[in-house]
Amino acid sequence: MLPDLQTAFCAGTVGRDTAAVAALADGGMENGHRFGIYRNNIFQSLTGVLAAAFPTVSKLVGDENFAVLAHRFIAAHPPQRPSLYAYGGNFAAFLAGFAPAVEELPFLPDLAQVEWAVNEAYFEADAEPLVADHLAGLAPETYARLRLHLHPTVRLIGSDWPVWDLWGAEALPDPWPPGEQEGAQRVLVRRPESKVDVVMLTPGDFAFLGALAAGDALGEAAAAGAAAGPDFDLATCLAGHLAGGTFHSGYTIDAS
Amino acid sequence: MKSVNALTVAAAVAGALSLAAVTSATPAMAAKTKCYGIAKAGQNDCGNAAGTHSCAGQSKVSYSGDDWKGVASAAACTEMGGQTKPFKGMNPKKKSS
Repeated sequence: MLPDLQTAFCAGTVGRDTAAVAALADGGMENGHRFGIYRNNIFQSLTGVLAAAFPTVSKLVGDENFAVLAHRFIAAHPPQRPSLYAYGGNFAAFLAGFAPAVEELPFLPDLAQVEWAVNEAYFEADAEPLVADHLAGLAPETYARLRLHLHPTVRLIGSDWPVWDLWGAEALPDPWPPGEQEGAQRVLVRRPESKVDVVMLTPGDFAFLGALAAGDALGEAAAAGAAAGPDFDLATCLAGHLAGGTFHSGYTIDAS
Repeated sequence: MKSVNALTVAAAVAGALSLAAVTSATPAMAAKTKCYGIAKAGQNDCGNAAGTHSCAGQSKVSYSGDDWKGVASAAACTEMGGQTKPFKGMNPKKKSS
């Protein structure tokens, strides 16, 4: 009995199945009305959660459009976990499949990916970033066999659109759309300490870090970086990301 | 080119470490001081002194003495009306909004 009631209750809220509402016990007041209040509260609060996780998407489409997007998303993807901070992970994929949104603003799914990466980095467990001091005691002979791992809060997002410019924007850049040359941007999200960084990467650095994330050793990753960007320089890249906290303190040394 | 050779990699790591020694100030580590009593509900940084929640954004009470935000220095913390040690109850210098 209780599982049936719970299933009907769920169908009546996010599924908007009004027939299911009739199956509820009559409490003297009109059930449809009572249920409507409950349902609206669910949609209101979840829309608020999404607006907090995707502030720039919300700003660029406008509050009213965002509420429409959010309501469709909530109906299609109700929360699967009882933690609101974890809600919205497939919003970017939902936007990519929602033709009316991407026809007008084709960058929306990528921008949503950046905002979700920020959200994830924020709530990811703390971990110690690798700093130059950690490596200072190593014998120079072992440098070539050094294997670096990305900090667990790191997310890499490559886009055909200027997502780094768009992230945090109050309005679309002028002129819009951008020319093909300046269009594509690559973004690194990380939280080495308490603050989330959103950094624009060169094509070389992006390919290098992507190769490290895939498990490549430094030599292979450096080749990937050089292939993607002619101005890629391993020493400069390493120094910058050691200072920024992109790597995890748990480095390893390959067997010789 | 399949891979950059070991000598080049070793030289680059050595170069990166010497660069890092020159610019040892790490900008990403700026917000180091835990400042208690200044975070609004849901805007605290990770963990709290009472152990009632473990991560960022979980505080339900504004300006709670148990919850901290990362700020640049102890001076900045005091200036914002906070304390660098956890304390009981709500921050008396802050009105809840």
